[in-house]
Amino acid sequence: MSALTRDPSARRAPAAPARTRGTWHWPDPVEGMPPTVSAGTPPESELPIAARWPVEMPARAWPPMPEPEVARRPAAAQPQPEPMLPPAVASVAAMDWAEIPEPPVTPARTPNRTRDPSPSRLTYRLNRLWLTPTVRHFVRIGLPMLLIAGLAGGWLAREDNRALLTGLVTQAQDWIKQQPMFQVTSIDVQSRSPEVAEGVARILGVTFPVSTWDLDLGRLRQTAEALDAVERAWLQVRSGGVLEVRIEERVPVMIWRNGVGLDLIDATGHRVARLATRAARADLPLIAGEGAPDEIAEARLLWAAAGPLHPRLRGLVRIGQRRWDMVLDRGQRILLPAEGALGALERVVALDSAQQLLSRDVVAVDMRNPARPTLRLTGDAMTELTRNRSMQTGAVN
Amino acid sequence: MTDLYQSQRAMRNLRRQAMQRGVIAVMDIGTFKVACLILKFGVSDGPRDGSGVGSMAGQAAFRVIGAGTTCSRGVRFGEIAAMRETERAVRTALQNAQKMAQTRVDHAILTFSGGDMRSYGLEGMVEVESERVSEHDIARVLDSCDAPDIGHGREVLHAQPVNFLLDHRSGLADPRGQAGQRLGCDMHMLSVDTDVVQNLVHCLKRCDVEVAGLAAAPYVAGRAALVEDEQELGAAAIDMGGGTTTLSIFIKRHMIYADTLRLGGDHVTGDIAKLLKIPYSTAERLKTFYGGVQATGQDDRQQIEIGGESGDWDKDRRTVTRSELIGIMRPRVEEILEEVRARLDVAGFDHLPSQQIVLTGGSSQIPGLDGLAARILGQQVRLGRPIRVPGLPQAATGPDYAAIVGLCQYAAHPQDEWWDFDIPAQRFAAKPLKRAMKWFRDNW
Repeated sequence: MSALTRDPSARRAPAAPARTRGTWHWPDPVEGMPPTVSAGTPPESELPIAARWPVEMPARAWPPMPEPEVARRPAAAQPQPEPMLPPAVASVAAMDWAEIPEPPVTPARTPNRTRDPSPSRLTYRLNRLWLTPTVRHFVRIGLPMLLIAGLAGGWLAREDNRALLTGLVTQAQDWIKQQPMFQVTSIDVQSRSPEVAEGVARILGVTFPVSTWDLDLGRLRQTAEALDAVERAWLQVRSGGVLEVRIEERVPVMIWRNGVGLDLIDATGHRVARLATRAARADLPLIAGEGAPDEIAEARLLWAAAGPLHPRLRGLVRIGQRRWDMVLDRGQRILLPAEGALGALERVVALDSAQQLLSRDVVAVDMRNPARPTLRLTGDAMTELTRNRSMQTGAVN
Repeated sequence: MTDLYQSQRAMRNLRRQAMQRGVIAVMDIGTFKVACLILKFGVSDGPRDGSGVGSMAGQAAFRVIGAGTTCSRGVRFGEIAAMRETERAVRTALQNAQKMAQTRVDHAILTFSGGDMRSYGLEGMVEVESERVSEHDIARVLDSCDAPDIGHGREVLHAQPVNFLLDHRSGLADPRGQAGQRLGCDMHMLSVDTDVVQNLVHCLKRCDVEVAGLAAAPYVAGRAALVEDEQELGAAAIDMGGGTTTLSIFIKRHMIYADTLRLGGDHVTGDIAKLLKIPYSTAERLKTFYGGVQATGQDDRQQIEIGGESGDWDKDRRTVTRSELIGIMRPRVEEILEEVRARLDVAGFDHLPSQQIVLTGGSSQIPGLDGLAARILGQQVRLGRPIRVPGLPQAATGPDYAAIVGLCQYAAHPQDEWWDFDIPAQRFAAKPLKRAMKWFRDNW
C-alpha cells in the first residue's frame, strides 16, 4: 500500500448529507436510501492471511467492538512522508552535485506486528508462582521483614552506631523529661505535727527541680511510711509542679519504758517516737516490761478498768511476757493472772471501793491464783496483825 | 479396558482432591475460543431468596471466581492442529482467569468436541447374587455389558448407566436394595480418538496443569442448555460452535446419544471470505455484525462497506448489500442444519416422546436462525442459553458458553460412570495372580 496514492480527502466521502446518527428514519422522504454503513476497518495485519485470522482478529478489543465504537475510533494516523522535491536549482549546469542532499532514507516498513497477547512460558510460570499463597506471603511480608531486620542488625553491629543510638535515645528522653509540664519544683507535706512533716520531707530526699518521669511515687510512699510516726502517706503530683504528701500520723496512746528509754506507742502497739521525759506526756499511761507493746490492747482495757485507782496508778508492768502487774504509788502492786486479768482487777477495784483495801498497809495484792487471792502486808502491819491475833487468842509467842 | 478404568479413576481421584482443596479450573478448548473458568467450592450457600435463581440453577456447591477467554489458536474442528499455538491460547486463558481469581489452579477439567465421538448403546444382564440388589451387583452388571469393537486407537470417554432393568421392570434409576432375580442395565458409551485426547492432555500438561477430568462437549452443553423437564422428557441439544456442531440427545436425565459434525460457524465465515474475496477477519466481522439467514426487503438496500487496507483503493471501496451477505450465509447454515437433521434421524430422534430441539453455541446467535431451524428440524425448536451459575461474569452468560457452564455443573455434580463402581473381585484378582506367575517364570 502506498501512502502517496491515497487521497485522504477522498477516503470518507459522506454518502449522505451530514446527519446526526440518531435521527435517521427510514424510509427517508429526502433520500430514499439508507446510508452506507461502514464495516469498520479491519485490523492492521501483517501476518499472511494463510495464518488464519484468530491470531489477529481482535486487534483492538475482544469481543469485537460494536459499530459506534469502531466509528469513534480515530482513523489510523499514519505520518505522511514529505514528498521528495527536486533540489531548487536554476540549471543543471549550475548545480553543485555535492550539495544535493541525500534523499531521506525512508525506513523500510517494519512489519507492524500486533503483540502476541499470550504470555510466554516464563511469564506464565512466574505468574503462577506469584499466585502461590506461600510465595506471595513470603514476598509481601517475610521478605520486607527480613530486609528490615537485616539492615537494622547490620547497622547495629557497629559499636559506635549503638552508642549513637543510645545517645540519641537518652537525649530524646531527657528533652521530654525536661519539659516544663513535667517539672516538679517543691514539696508540700501536710501533717498534723510540723516535726513529722519536716522529717518526712527530709527522709524522702527529693532534690528539686525533678521531672515527674523520675519520681517513683510508690517507692517514695514506702519510704515515707517506713517512718515510725507515719501510719499512712498519700503522694500526688499536683499542678504547678508541687509534690503533695499527705501524712496520717500515728496517735500515741501509751508510753513504753524499755531498757533504753521511753517510747510512745500507738493503739496497735507500734512505736511512734522517742520520748525524752515521762513528764512530757503525763496524760498517757505507762507500760513497761519486755513484750508489753504486743499486748497493748489488754493493757488499755486494764487501764480503763482501773478507773477509780487512776490518781494512784504508776503504770503496768509485763512480767515474763505472760501477765501484767499493776503498779501504784507507795510501791503497791496488783499481781494479775495471765488469764482473766480483767476480772481479777475488777475484783480488786471492787474490794478497794468497798473496804479501801489499797489504802491500807498492803504491799501487794496477789490475784495470780483467782481462787486464792493473797495480800502481802508490810512488816509493821504484819507485826501488828500478829500482836492483835495473840491478844485475841491469849497466846504469848 | 482396565487401563482406561484405572486412568479414569485416577482422574476422578484428582478431581476429588482438587475439590477438597477448593479450587478447580474448567476449560473449554474450542475452535473459536478457549475459555477457562475457575470454580471455588464450598463458599456459596445457594441462591438468595428473591434472586430469581431457581432450584435447578442453585449450584450451591461452587462459585465462579475467575474467568478468562481468548481466541483459540491452532485448533481445527475441535482438535489440536498446532500444539504450540494452542498452548499459548490455553496459557492466555488460564493466566487471565488466575489473575481474576487471584489464585493458582493445578487441576483442570477439560471439555472438547473433536475426536470423532461415536456413541454406543450397550446392555448387560446378570443374576442377582443375594436376594436384594447390592452395589456389587451393579458393578457386575456394568461389567457384563458386552463391549463393542470401538476400533483401534480409540478410547471410552463416557460410559454411563442410563437405565436399569429388574426382572420385568424397566426404567429404574437406582435398583439398589430392591428385590429381584435378574438385573439388567443399559449403558451409553461414548468413544473418542485416543490421540486427540492425548494431545489435549499433553497441551495442558505443558501449561503445568493436571487434567482432572474429561467431558464431551455435546454432553456438557446439553446439561447446561436443556432445562430440567427437557432433560427428563427427551430433547436434543445442538451446540453450534466454530469448527464443529455437536448434538446430544437426553432423556430421563441421561445422555443417550451424542454426535459431532465437522461443520460450524468457521465454514460460514470461510464462505463469506472466499466469495467476497476479503480477509478472514473482515469476513468474521461482517458475519458478526450484519449476518443473518432471513433476508427482507430492507436488506437489499442496506449497503455494507467491506473496507480493507489492501492498498487497492477500488477493492477497499467495495460495498455489498446485506441480502448478498445473507445469500452467502444461508446455504451453509442450511447445510449444517440438514446434516444435523440427518444425524438425528439416524439416531432415531423421532421415536422419542418429546422432540424438543435446543440450539445453543456461538453460531446459534445468527439472527433468524430459529426460523430457519424450525423449517428444517421441526417445529419444537428454541434457542437455548446456559443456566445461571453463581459468579459467572455477564460476558460469559451467552449461548457460546453453554459447554463450559455445563462443565461447571459436571464438575460439581458428576453423573455416575462405569468407573465409579468398584471392579468385581474375580476380574480384579486376575492381575496380581498373573503378575506372580510372570515373576516365577522370569526368575526360576
